[in-house]
Amino acid sequence: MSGKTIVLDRVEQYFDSHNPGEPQKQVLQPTSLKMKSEEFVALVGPSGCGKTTVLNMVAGLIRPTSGTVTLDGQTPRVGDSDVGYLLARDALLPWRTALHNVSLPLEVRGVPKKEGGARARKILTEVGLGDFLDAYPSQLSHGMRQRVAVARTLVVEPRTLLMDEPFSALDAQTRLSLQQQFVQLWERVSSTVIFVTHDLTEAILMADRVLVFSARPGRVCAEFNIDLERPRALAELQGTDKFHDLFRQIWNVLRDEVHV
Amino acid sequence: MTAKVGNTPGDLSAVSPAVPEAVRRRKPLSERPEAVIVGWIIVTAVFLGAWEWGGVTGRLNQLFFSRPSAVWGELVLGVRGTLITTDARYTLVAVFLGFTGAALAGVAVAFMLSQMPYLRKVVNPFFTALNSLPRVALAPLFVMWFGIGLFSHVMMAASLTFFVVFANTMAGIESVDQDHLLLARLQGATRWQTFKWFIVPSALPSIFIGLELGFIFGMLGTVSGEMIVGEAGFGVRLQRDAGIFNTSGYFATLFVLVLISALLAGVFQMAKRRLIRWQSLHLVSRGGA
Repeated sequence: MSGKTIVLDRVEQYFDSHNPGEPQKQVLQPTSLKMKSEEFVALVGPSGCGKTTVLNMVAGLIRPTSGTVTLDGQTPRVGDSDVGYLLARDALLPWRTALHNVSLPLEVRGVPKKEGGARARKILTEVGLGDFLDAYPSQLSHGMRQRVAVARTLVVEPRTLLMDEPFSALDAQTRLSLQQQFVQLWERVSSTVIFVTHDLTEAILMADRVLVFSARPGRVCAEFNIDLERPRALAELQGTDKFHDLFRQIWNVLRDEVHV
Repeated sequence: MTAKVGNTPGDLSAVSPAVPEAVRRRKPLSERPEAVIVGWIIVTAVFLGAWEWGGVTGRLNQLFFSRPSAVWGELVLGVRGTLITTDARYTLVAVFLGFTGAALAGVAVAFMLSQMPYLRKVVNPFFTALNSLPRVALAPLFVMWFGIGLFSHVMMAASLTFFVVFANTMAGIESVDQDHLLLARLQGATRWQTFKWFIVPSALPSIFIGLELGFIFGMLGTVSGEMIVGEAGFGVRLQRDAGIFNTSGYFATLFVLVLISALLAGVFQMAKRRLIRWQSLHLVSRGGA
């Protein structure tokens, strides 16, 4: 099982204006992107620049106004079992335990209960929640809940992973530990990742490639290869010269777009 | 219902300023179950004592207010007579039949309409209109249609229960978290899976509120129907006792009515706690994130 190749060919997106009578607004200028199998690509840029729009197109949630999106040559479809989508909000079901939240996507897919339970238990243990299998979401802290959400996304071993600021709601320490854990899991499951974030540090630490989006209507205005070795130790990486160089280079571009 | 009066520490201290020192030193009174029970006893004793005293000394007109000892006498008489064996049974059977049928129908219709948005929009104003009708106004009509027997009172209960259960179930379905629905879509859940794993559990707490209210409303419907005309039941009894100024008998019937309602409310609470356990849980650990 290898990650899918994701191709966006001159996709463009308009949305209806909130004010009736006004013309449609362009959110995304014609954009072409290609993500190699098992590549980890981070999208950064100012709010409303169309990053999430790109993610939703790949998930099949929205159709581009023009242009095409393909995953291994196929048009994306909502509910594709090969696509995992992780949101900033954990969206755990409060009436299900951690274990049953994680086994839910397997149940949906018709995986036998026993096997599903075993897989869910294994991945929850890997994210450090082995002692909280039977806890309900209301009994868990923010960080633990997001860990359950990460486990729920990865348990189906999706070949494409879409992440929309998954760690943005967490405090700094929890975020770093979750980023590290996620990178470790990902280095093993080998899927193609599109990671939307506001946090440049996070983008550099985790991704193979960072794409900087312009202010609305968005387009990719710069692209950086992050040639840091894997496996990565995120906490240590932050102190290296290489990280600081990359951060400075990308920030010089990003700054003009976010108008600091 | 009287049991609830002493539930807060404010009420308790108002009735009895001399709370023992030993009790005060530890947890707050509101957190001590035995203190709350003591409060209930005090409130009950003070209320009954004052009432009896008012009756015995003639400060309360016995014709209108009776007194606890006389009510007790009527209660014993009623229990030996037809209060429980005939009247309570009659009312409860009517409420039970009306409630069960209407509750099932209310839940079913709500789920059905939630899957048919067009039909729902069409039906909505008619339901609202029917529901805003004071249901007691239907009682004489029901007597014409269904006679003075049990069925007429079953329908009174049902006419009230149905809309309460329906409205609460609908509200529960509509309160489903949009993120959960998005998740269901992304996970590729079928319509049936989305329904049973995402929508029903989310609506369950609200359905329970509907059932609880529905029962109380059902009771209201049946008893008020019986008060207009009926063969037996609490309502018939109340009407008859009021007609002959048997205030003691009236209060005795009210007492049984309250007792039964409270008992059934307790059963609902227990069932609710078992079925939706996840709702009453709290954070066990903030650390270790």
